[in-house]
Amino acid sequence: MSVLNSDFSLAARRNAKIRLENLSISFKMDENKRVDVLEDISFDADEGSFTCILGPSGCGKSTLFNAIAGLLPPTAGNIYLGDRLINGKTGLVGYMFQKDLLLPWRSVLENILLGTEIQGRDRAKSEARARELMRRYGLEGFEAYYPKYLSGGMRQRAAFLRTMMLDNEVMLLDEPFGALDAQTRLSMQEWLHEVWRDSKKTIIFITHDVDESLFLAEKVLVLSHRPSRIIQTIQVPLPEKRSYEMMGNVEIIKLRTELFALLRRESDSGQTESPNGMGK
Amino acid sequence: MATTAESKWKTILPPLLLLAGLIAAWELASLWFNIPEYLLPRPSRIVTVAILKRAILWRHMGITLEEVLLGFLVGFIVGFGLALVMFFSTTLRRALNPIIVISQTVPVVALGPILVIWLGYNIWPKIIVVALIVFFPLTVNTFDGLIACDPDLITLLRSMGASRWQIFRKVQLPNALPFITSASKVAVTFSVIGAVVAEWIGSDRGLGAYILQTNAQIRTPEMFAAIFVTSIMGIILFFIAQAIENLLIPWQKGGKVKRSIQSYLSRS
Repeated sequence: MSVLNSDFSLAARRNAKIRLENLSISFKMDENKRVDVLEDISFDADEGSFTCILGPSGCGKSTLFNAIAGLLPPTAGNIYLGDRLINGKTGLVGYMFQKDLLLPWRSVLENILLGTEIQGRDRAKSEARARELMRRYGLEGFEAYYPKYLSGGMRQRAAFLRTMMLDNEVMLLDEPFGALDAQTRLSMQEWLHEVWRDSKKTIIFITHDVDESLFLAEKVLVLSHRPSRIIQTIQVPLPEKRSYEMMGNVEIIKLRTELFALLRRESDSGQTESPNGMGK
Repeated sequence: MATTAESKWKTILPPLLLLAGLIAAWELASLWFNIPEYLLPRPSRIVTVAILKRAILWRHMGITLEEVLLGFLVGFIVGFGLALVMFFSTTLRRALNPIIVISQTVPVVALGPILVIWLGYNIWPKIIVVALIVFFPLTVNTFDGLIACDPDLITLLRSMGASRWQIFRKVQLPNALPFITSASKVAVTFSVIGAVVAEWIGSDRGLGAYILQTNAQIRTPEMFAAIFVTSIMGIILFFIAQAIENLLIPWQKGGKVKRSIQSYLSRS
């Protein structure tokens, strides 16, 4: 078998891989106070698609991911992976955070193997595959290094490969490049896009950066301020293989302006509401 | 850290020179002011006596070292165990917390005589005194290290489907390791003091007992020789603990590349 699942045909792609049906999440603060974070969220992410979730800071983006990853049972509604109901089930989708969360006492290779170790997979096979992925994605030669000797971009790549090693068809990326400098960020976006085209994983990507969402996604979902609902769904009119020059398309610039206005309105309305920011 | 030979000298030389200067000043002052030996013997005299009495000092040192090592071992195990218990059970943590603090406010020296009455004139009171001193920093630091773990790391492992035990073993325990080694360095130094004090309370053997006897007989040079040996012992134990720490947490000690046992094996 090849290292990446590159044998997916385009025809097989258009099945919903992740489906959310009327998902709502609220937290009970005390007896008579509850905070609604997500309200009636429904969407599909097709197999092998790239979906961005765009929303103002402080909306329930991370809560949404925690729910899909099974870390948080929904208050109402259902989450499906393919045909399977996965409410509250962990270990089925890959999850990557803004922080690289590499363990400082493990070498880069051992960090990439962490998930496979937890799931009790064959060590030799996993290691061979991890080395192959490292070679392919620019981490060759750093296998034995401690993470702190890697640059921010390389650490995020290692964190991504760690997620990828788990062979989950769905990957949730929660602002993975949010802590990187602008230059590194751009090259990481290009890198991720390439990996996605290669691997045909289903990616759901959280960001509050309009440009990032338009460059990466096929579909952009815009969330409102809390309680978050989907207020806009956009198909990005760009081909699968992209370059930064395309960001100058008239259509893209129009979309960009529209999305900025939408986000500004949402974060302004957020500031007039309760100021306590929980579960960003 | 990859220090060059030159910069290594730069760090070692100043303390060495200062120490040599102080000893020389002591030697010269003793000669100059003609201080009687029973009040303050000269360093050269202490060294001479230490060499002359090496057999007896060696024997006493062996006894004290045994107390230190056994006491440290018991204190380490108890301290580590208590930290685990407190980490895994909130109820037991609440119950144990005051007792652990009280154990440190009761002067261990005062407990000594009662331990001798209970356990007899043997090694056990000394082991217990040392263990009482050792366990506290270990419990406090191990516990702190276990809870100091980044909660996002735990979320990450949970998202991978990790069990409570896997999270403990793969994240929380290694995260506590630097805390444990640092507590051990403190504890091993204190444990030498603990053993000496415990010998004062009830023993006719060991460096502490020897210090007390020579002091009573105003054999001051021998007393100083024993103090000298005690302090050397503490220093050596500290450096052993330091060396073990360097081996256990290389990622904090400037190691760039992880050298696992396997990679050593595959190379040879």
